Amino acid sequence: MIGFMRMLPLLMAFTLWVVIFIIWPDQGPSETSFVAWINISLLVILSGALLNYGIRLIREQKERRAGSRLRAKLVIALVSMLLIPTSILQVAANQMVEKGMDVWFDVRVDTLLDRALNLAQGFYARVDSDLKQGLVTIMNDDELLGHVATLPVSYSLLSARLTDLMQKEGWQSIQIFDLNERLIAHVQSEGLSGLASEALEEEAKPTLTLGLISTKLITRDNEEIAVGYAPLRAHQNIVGVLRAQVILPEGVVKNARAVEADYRTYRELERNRQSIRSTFTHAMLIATLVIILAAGIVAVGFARRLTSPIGDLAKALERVTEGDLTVSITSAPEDELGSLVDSFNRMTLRMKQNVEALEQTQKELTGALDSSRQRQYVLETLLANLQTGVLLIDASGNIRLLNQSMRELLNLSSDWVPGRSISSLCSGRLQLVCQFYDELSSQDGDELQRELELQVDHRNLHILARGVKLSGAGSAGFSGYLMVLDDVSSLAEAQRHRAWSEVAQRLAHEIKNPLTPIKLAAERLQRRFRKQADNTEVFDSCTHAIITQVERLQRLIGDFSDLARLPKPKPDTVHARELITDMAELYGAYSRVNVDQFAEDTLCYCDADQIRQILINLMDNALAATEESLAPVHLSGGINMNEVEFHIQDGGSGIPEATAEHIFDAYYSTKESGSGLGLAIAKRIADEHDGELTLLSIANPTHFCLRLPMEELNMEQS
Amino acid sequence: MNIQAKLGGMSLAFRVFPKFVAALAVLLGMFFQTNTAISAPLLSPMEISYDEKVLYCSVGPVEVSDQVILALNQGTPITFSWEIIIEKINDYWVNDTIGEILVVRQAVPDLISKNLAITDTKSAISRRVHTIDEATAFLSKLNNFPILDRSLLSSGVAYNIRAKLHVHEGKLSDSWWAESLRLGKTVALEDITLP
Repeated sequence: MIGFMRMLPLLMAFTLWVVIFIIWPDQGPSETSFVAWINISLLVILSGALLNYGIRLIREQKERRAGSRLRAKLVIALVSMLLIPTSILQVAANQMVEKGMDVWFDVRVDTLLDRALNLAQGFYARVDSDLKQGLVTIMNDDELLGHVATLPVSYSLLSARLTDLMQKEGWQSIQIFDLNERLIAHVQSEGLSGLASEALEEEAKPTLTLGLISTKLITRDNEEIAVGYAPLRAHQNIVGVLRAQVILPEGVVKNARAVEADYRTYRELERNRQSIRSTFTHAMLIATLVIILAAGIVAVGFARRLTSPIGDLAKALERVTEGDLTVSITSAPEDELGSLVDSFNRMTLRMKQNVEALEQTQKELTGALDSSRQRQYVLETLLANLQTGVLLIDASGNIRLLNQSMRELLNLSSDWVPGRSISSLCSGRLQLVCQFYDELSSQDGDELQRELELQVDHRNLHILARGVKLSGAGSAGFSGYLMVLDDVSSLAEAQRHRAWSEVAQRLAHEIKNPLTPIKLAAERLQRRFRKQADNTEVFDSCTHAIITQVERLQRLIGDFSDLARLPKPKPDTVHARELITDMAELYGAYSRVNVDQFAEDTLCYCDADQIRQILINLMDNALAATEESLAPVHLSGGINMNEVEFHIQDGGSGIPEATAEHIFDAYYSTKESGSGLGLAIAKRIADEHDGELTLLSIANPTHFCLRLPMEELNMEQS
Repeated sequence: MNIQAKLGGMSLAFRVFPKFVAALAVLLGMFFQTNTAISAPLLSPMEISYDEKVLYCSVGPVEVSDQVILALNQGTPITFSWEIIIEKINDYWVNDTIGEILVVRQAVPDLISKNLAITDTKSAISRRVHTIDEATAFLSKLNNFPILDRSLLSSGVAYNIRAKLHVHEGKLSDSWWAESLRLGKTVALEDITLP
């Protein structure tokens, strides 16, 4: 609909051009053409204005100019409102003119005028014929001819006769001219008032020379006079010219001339009937076009005046939509639109104030958010780098937070994610954690601390679990439980080791001192009293047993001392290949020992003597385990990531699973002569080198692995 | 803003006004072209003669339209305005006008007495004729009409003599604007070079 409205001016312009084509003037009277050309000029102006306006409307439609649509509607509506009645009036006027023309140029009027003219013409013809007939009568009057032909002329007799004839014919004047065109007689009905003589006219010459009777009509201001000329003959010779004049009746002349004028006018109008109709039509069209033009100008002005504030409002709204709240409309009429503009200005001002307040609030919130994010970042970083496992559980038992240390500490499965219920995830080895949570959630107190023994990935972990109940008021509306798990295995181990060291030192101190005198005494007994003994065999056996057990006790005490006073490692850069080579040379005598060297030489940062001690301990254990079966023992080196690995594998009977759990504990041994300190010392050395000694496989083969950091890593750390 | 609006309106007027002026000029040109074509007779023969002192011109007779005959029959006066223009021909410039002679001849029918008064309005010579043929013969040709003093012309110089005719139906108006609107159409052309 809007598109049609916008195309309407162009359609109207096209229609006007059609009208121009229709009314294009043919050849005709200039007045009609002039009016037609005025109309065509007005139509061209109007169509040009419409064309211009239509193009502008279409352009405005593309440019989406504010208020243009309303303005177009108003202008088109106003012009249409005027165009329709004026068009109807134009058509009605044309019809009236058409009908009027038919009435004016009715055939009866035509006939009437013809008859009237014929009547007038008949009157004049009658006067003319009467005049001629009278002239013939007079020119054949013997008495008159006798007076004229008789010389000398008797003027009195001639005038008397002429007077008689004039009165008889009813003429107003009779004159007689001789051949020399001299007036020889003149009688007139007006007496002395018209005595002035007139010369013979040119029209009388044919009468004088040829003897013809002629008449003419003289038209003066107030009268018309019929004048006749006739020859006077005497003996077949022209002797003079008779001139008679008759004054036509004034009333008849006036009527006849009026009839002639009316007839002429009527015929002119009839000839110009078409042009008269055109003139009327064009005159009406001029009025219509002028009215439409004026209405169009007024409509455009009115629409512009009306829509200008609306356009300003629309523009301002567009700018507001684009975010410009500084817009303000300065000019506004003092009417409803003006109050609308004022409301708009107030609205934008209020919006601007609100936006400024919002921006300020946003700025503050952004600052707070940044601060919160910073705190969160610090907290997350702290939690991520914290070696303590942290678990946050809400009041409904769902996990809300879980740090990486907790995952690594408990070797949690992928199910342990925030949002899952902790109760659904607790089973097996993590039962103790859930029990701790149950206890924490069910107790009255806010805090709980327990030590838990967990087995994780074949390792026994000593966990210190602490829990705090979070109340809603104290933690910004959050209610739940915070559980913190610390791996205190190393601490417990250190404490245990320290306790054992103290025990070992005391035992060594208390036991070692009497052992040497015991052994010396037993050897002395053996040297001095062997020969005195009754039963040398028994004596030797006893003293040997004493000496052997003392030596064993001394070794035991030595191991105790070693464990208690294990020296601090003195690390240095060591070629890993050299360690393997040393072992190969040391155990070269054993045919079942296979050694695989490192693929490439690698440096490790360690105390070579202590590492050799570990390797020897492991190789001895392996050889001992395969002493009966003579299964092969395999020593190999390898590199994994940033660690140097030494692998010792044997095909012995393996280690029972129950033993494997305590194999690195001090004083735990399955051998009768073992102190149970070898692997404990080896593990301690490995730990002090920031390495790791692990049992990878308990059987087929039994596989130990010693991992030491590579040289570069240690150098960087140092 | 109002000033800007007014300036905008004026600039619009200045922008649109020349278009309308141009359109009006075209339309007026067409109007006048059409107006003179109303009674546009074809080119007629022209004869130029001269004696020792005077240059004479004979034009016509031009074709008289049925409309003119009908008008005379119905009592409407007819006026033939002859305009003889003598120009010196310039090859590279507009011709110089040497003289312009206007001859106005009129025939006024009298329907009552059934004759026509024919008049040369410039010379005020008048006479009556009884037939329309006589009247049209008087109106439609100039016979050996003296147009210019020969002393105004030079020997061996080319001149162009042009006859323009405007036929008016009805009573002749004496107003200046009516006279200025009587723009004739060329009905005869002749070039002469005096010895």
